[in-house]
Amino acid sequence: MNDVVPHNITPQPLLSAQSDNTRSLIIVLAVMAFLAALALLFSLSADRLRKNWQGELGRSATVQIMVDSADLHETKVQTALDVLKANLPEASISPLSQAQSKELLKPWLGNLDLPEDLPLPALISVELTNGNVLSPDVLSAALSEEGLIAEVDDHSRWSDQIGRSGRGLKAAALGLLTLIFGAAIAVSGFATQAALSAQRDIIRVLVQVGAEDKFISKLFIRQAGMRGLKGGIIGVVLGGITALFLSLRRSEETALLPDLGLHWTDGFFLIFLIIGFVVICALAAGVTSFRLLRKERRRA
Amino acid sequence: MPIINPVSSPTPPQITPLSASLDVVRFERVGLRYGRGPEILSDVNMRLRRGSFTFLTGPSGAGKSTLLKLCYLTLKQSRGLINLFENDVSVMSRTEEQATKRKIGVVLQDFRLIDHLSVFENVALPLRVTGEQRAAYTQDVTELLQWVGLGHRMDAMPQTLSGGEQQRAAIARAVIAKPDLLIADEPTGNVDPVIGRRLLRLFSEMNRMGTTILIATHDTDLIQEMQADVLRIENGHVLSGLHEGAAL
Repeated sequence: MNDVVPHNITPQPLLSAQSDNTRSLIIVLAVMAFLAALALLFSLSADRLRKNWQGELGRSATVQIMVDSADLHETKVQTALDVLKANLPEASISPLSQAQSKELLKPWLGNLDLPEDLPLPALISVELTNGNVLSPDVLSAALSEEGLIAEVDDHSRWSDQIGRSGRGLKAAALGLLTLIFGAAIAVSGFATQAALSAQRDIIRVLVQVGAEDKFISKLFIRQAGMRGLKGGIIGVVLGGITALFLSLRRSEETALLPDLGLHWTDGFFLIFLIIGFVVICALAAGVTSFRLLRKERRRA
Repeated sequence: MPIINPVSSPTPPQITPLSASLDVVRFERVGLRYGRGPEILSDVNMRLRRGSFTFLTGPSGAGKSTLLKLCYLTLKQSRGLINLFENDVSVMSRTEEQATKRKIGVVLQDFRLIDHLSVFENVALPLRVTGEQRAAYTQDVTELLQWVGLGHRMDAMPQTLSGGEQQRAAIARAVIAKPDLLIADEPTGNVDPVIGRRLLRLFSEMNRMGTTILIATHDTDLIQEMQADVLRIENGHVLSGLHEGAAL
């Protein structure tokens, strides 16, 4: 009796694949995932850059010694070095030569030949190690005690500005990411609504044979999740490739912009982004289908 | 409450006490209207005993299909009481409602087969929605399809089947889960007499195994062939005197 068996050994999907414009939806979701990936990479990159800059600035300071006459330059620099070494024994302290100081003035004074006797301020670079903290006030007082007119710049002004800018960029990128996720939720919800409408006859049959709302919703959740997965993978992979391309092609003109170079840890975030896409698409489909099925109750 | 034997029975009506617990379907003063329109069904009183075999007959437009829809929970009454398996349908939760539907097999005139599923998948649907694994039901579905003469078409898609084949597939789907109540709307309307008789044997066999059967039909030969209760409906009323077998 059982020599005749069905050829399809795996159950066919209960929802029809043709009736919900799957391909178009995957393209839309892929575009969203692409933008989300770029926003995420930009946010990560901006944050990384901010931390790097702030870290570098926080570990260094510039001491500027006023020199009345070029003859006293060496003496005053030596005195300042002694004071700095006494106060910061573990720091790396290195004076800039006059040639280096003149080089720094070029952006303001141009390529003019400066007179040899021009009393340029002496600049001393201080690099802190082992997480030591530098107090500009204490250092200024110590230098002043030795009769030096000095200005200690610990770059905190720049560091704060960079911090604010970096946090602003990060917030903007995360805001963009939130908007994209919101749009993906809306798209998935509308798609589910359309699919429910297109597959009303199938749902009517499922309801008639006793399928619970939970069972039917799961079908839509699975379908939307698969769409989210496909769109997410396509978009995120394209986003990653684009970021890598931009990073490699970064020219001098864009040097002021954050480097979109990928760090290996970004891969985890991109995987979470794909998972996030799957989850929000599935959730939106589940909530929409469950709500509409309850609404349609008894109208089958 | 007493019930009377069916009119189709050759013996005189016999009053039999019936416990309420034996009712699979019970209607009391049930009325149905759409919006503010006139009542499609009015003051319908009837009951189907557990294990009974009942024909529902009457002219076209009398309300047979509407009454069946109330029985399989696709419509909700405007007034009155409907009890299915001893539960008041008006206070059923969604979960209870779906659990009740799983006890009911339905064969409709328009078959309602799912176009993108094979005949096998369509028939297996009631088992699949309960979470049964394919391996557990493949043999049952295959045997049933062979029994209704569709063994060679189980991989076919519904649109490639004839009307009669679609009807047999719909019947197979309705009975595969061995429902407690089988409701059929003109189940033999599109099949040849041989298949029709075979389907009736299937219904009889199911009835013998305890399934309550309610069949809407115009086919008087069918009614006479079966020793069954008869409910006659006209103008939205279940007529007394013709439906003794199941009327309250």
